[in-house]
Amino acid sequence: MKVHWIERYIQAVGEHLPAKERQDIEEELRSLLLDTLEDRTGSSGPYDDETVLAVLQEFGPPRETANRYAARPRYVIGPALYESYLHITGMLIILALIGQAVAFVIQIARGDLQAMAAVSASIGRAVSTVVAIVGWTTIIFGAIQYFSKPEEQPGEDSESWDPRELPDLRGEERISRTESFFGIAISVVALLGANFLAFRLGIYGDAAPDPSLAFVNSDAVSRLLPWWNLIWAAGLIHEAALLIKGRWNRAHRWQAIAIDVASMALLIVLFRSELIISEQFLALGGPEQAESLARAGRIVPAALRGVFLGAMAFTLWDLIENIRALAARRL
Amino acid sequence: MDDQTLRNMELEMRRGVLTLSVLSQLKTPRYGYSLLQRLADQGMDIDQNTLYPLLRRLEKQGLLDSDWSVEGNRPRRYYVLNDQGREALQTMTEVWRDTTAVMQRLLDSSDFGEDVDQ
Repeated sequence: MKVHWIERYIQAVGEHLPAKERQDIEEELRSLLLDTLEDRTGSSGPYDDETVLAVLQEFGPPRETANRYAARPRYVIGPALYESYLHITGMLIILALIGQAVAFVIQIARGDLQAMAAVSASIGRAVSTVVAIVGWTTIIFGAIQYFSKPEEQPGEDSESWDPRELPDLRGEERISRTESFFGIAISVVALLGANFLAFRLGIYGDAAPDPSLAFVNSDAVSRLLPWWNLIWAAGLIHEAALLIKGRWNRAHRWQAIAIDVASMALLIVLFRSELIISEQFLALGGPEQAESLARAGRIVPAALRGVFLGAMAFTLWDLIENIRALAARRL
Repeated sequence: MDDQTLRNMELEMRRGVLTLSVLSQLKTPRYGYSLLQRLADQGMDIDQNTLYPLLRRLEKQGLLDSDWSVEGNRPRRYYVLNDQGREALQTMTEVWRDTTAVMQRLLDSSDFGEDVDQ
């Protein structure tokens, strides 16, 4: 099997580069390596392994090469810690928000809070929680970065470095951890919202535990809920698996395409939002109702259709991206 | 004085003139490797791992423009001086000429000559 030493080397250098500049520097490095090889051999390839390995040996250990390219040798949080920083910060935010969402749902269910007041208070709490978490993790990681000394990995000093020890080329695309965390957070909110909050949305009478006028059609939502749960749970597992694996592969792409197709089908059903809104609420749009209620009866279905339309556009875009990546073998 | 110290001093001196060397050869667009060879042909050997980061830094400082161009089936990034770069080259060239004139006088001075003669 042909070993792609140049790509292995570029991959190893890229591991030590800031994400923002990584692709640009990798392309430039590839160009430089190929120019060097062309000059040495007088041909445009293919090149034998010995020649390639000799050139890589001259270029030096990947970490050293990356350090020369890095715009600034010092960071508040460097590339080595940055992924962990995002990972831990994202995880803490998700856990804190889930805890707050559960507390919110329990308080609403017990009738301890007025719905509107509770929503605004919860948004305020959530924002300050996120700010506090980001602040503290940044300070802690910044301190770790400041006090840590760069460790040289085995075989990374210029003399003993051997390009034959470069890690295997992973034929997979790196994932964006930020996107994965965002996907997980959205999945959790969608699951919790549909299962715990949807049935409680409505207009409440004085101190009544249940809404006197519910927004959603319980029968229709109960029929669709298992499909909703299945798709979002699949999405959640998919994102978690990606996060653990750290890279795309073909199986992940096929899973993403299947989830996108299923989501699209469900969204098309939901787009007819009259299905999931209760008949009593839809009747508010009638001429015999008070103007404010009648307006709510018209606006809510239209707003829901807008939300579902936006979700359909996003899902379609994601589907096309996944198919393109698969077709281009970009995985 | 050991060889390593001498080598470090030489490297330090060469490092100081690298920027001017590179700027002087980029009045017309060149890709990195052709620039490397051009410099080497004229006696200015630069390590490839030094040249590329230097080119990127000069671009970030606003002295060079760069553009990817596909030659054959391979993309190459071409660098060229922009207006600010040409101005910097002119200024640095004048500084260089003044400095070399001063250095020439210093090196030709009698004290140094006597030390060398001994």
